[in-house]
Amino acid sequence: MEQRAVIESQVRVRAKKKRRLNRRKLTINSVLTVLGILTIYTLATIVPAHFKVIEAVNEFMGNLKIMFLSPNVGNDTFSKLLSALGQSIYLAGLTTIAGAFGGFVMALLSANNLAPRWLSQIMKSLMASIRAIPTILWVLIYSVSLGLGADAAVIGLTFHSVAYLAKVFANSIEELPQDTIEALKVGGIGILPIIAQAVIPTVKSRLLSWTFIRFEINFANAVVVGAAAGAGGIGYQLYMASSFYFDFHEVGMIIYLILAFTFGLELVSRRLRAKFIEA
Amino acid sequence: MLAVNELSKSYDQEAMSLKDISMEIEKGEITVIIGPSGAGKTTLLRSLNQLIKDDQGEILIDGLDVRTLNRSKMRQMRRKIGMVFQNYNLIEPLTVLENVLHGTLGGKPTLLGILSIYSDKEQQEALALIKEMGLEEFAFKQCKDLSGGQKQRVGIARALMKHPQIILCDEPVASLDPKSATLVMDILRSLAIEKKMTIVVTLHQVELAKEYADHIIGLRAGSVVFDGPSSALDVAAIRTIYD
Ligand SMILES: Nc1ncnc2c1ncn2[C@@H]1O[C@H](COP(=O)(O)OP(=O)(O)OP(=O)(O)O)[C@@H](O)[C@H]1O
Ligand SMILES: [Mg+2]
Repeated sequence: MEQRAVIESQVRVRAKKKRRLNRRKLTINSVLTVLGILTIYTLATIVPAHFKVIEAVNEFMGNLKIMFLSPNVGNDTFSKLLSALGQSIYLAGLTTIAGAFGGFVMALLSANNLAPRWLSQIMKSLMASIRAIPTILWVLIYSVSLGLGADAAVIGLTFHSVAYLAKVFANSIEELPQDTIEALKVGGIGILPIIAQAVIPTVKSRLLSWTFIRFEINFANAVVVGAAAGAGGIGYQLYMASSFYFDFHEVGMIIYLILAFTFGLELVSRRLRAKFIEA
Repeated sequence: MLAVNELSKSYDQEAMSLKDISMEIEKGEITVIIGPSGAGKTTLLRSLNQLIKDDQGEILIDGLDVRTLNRSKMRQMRRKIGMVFQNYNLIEPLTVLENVLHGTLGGKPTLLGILSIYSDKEQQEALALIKEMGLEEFAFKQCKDLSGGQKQRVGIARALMKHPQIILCDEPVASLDPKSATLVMDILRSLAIEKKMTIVVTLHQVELAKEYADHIIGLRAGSVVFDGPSSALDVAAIRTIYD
C-alpha cells in the first residue's frame, strides 16, 4: 500500500518534469521562429529600391575574380609589399617575445603549486579580466594616450599577450606535481633555484610551443592593427589598396602573401601542439 | 637519536590522525612503521621533519625539539634529514646526474643554484654515489627513461648528496616489483650498517618489514599498538595492527 503511494508520487514527479521540459522546448522554438521571421523580413526590406541583387552578386563575383585570379602588386613594388609583411612579422615577433617574458613572470605568480593561494587567485582573475577585452580594444585604449600608431599597437598587443601566455604557462607549470616541488623545498632549496632547476626544465618545450602559437595569433592581430590603428605593415597596405586605391589586383596579392605566411605558421604550430602540448 | 613524546595531530576538529604517539628511534637502525591505510604512517613521518605542523607533543632530534625551531634552525635541522618518496619526485627531463646534484642545492648560494654551478668535488661525489647505486651506465640518461626501481635509487642518491644523518622513506617500494623492492631495501640496510644512518621507513608489506627492520612500530587508527624488535612481531601482534 505504502509502496504504491511512493511509486505514484514518483510518477507524478516525473510527469511534472516532462511537462516542464515540454514547456521549455516550446518557448525556445517559438522565440527562434519569431527571430527567424524578423530576420528575413528585415533583410527583405533593408534592400534599397535601386539595389539589384543579381547585379550586385555578379559584380561581387567579378571583384573576387580580379582579386584571386589576377593578383599583382599594383601601385607598389613587390619588395615594398614584402617589407610591409616583414614589418607585420616584426611587430608580431616583438610583442610575442615581450609577452613571453612578462607572461612567464605572471605565470610564476599565478601557478598554484608555486605561489600562495591568495596571490594565485588574485593574479588569475587579473589576467582573466585583461584577456576578456580583445587585443584590438587594448590597442585602441592605449592609442587614447599614445595616439594611433605603432606605439599603441606594440603596447596593446604585448599587454594581451602577457595575459594570454600567463594563463597557458601557468596551466603548464601546474602540471608539475606539488609533491615534487615540496621535495626540493624540504631540502632547503630556495624558490628561485627551484624555478631554474625544476620548473623550467620540465615545462620548457611546452612554453616554447605556446609562445609560437601566440606568435601566430599576434601575426593576425598585427595585420588587423596595421589597418585599424594605422600601425603600418601589411595590414596598412591592405587597407590602402582596398579602401583608398580600390585596386583589387593588389588586394588579391596582399591576401595571397598573408595567406602563405599564415599557412606556414599553422603547419608548424599544429606540429608543436601535437608533439609537446597534447602529448 | 630521534624521540617522539606524546605527539598528537588532527587535520580537522573531529578525527585525530595521531594520538599520543611516543617512540624512540636509534642511530644505525632501520625502523619500519607499518599499519593499515589511513593509520597515520605518512602523517607521522612528515611530522618528523615538520612538513606537517603538529597540534601538540614533542619531537626531539639529538635532544633538540624541532617544533620550536625558528626558520634558519629549521633549515639546518632539515639538512640533516634526507627524504625518499613513493613516486620518486625526480625532475624527469633532467639526467640522473643532474637530479643527484640537486641534493647539494640546499646548501648553495642562490645564484650558483640558479646557474647550476657545481664544484668538481660535488660532481665526483655524485658520480661515485650513482656508481654505488649500480646506475653508472645511466648517469647521463634522462630520468624519464628509467624503470621505477632505478628511479628510486636515483632518489636515494639525491637524498645522500646532502650527507644526512636521518633518512625518512614514505613507502619507498610501494610502486616497485619484488626484485627492485629487495634491491632498494638492501641499499637502505647497507646505509644503516655501513654509514650508521638512522633510517625510518613506512611499508605496506609485513614480510619486508620483518626481514629488514631492526625495530618495528605498528600504527592503528593513529595510535601505537606495537613497538618492538622485528622478532617480536608475531601473528597475534599482526592481528592487533591489521584487524
Ligand atoms: N591533508 C589532510 N587533510 C585532512 N586529513 C588528512 C590529510 N592527510 C591525511 N589525513 C587523514 O589522516 C589520517 C592518516 O592519514 P595518513 O596519510 O597519515 O595515513 P597512512 O597510514 O599514510 O595511509 P596510507 O597507507 O594509505 O598511505 C587519515 O584518516 C587521513 O584521512
Ligand atoms: Mg601514506
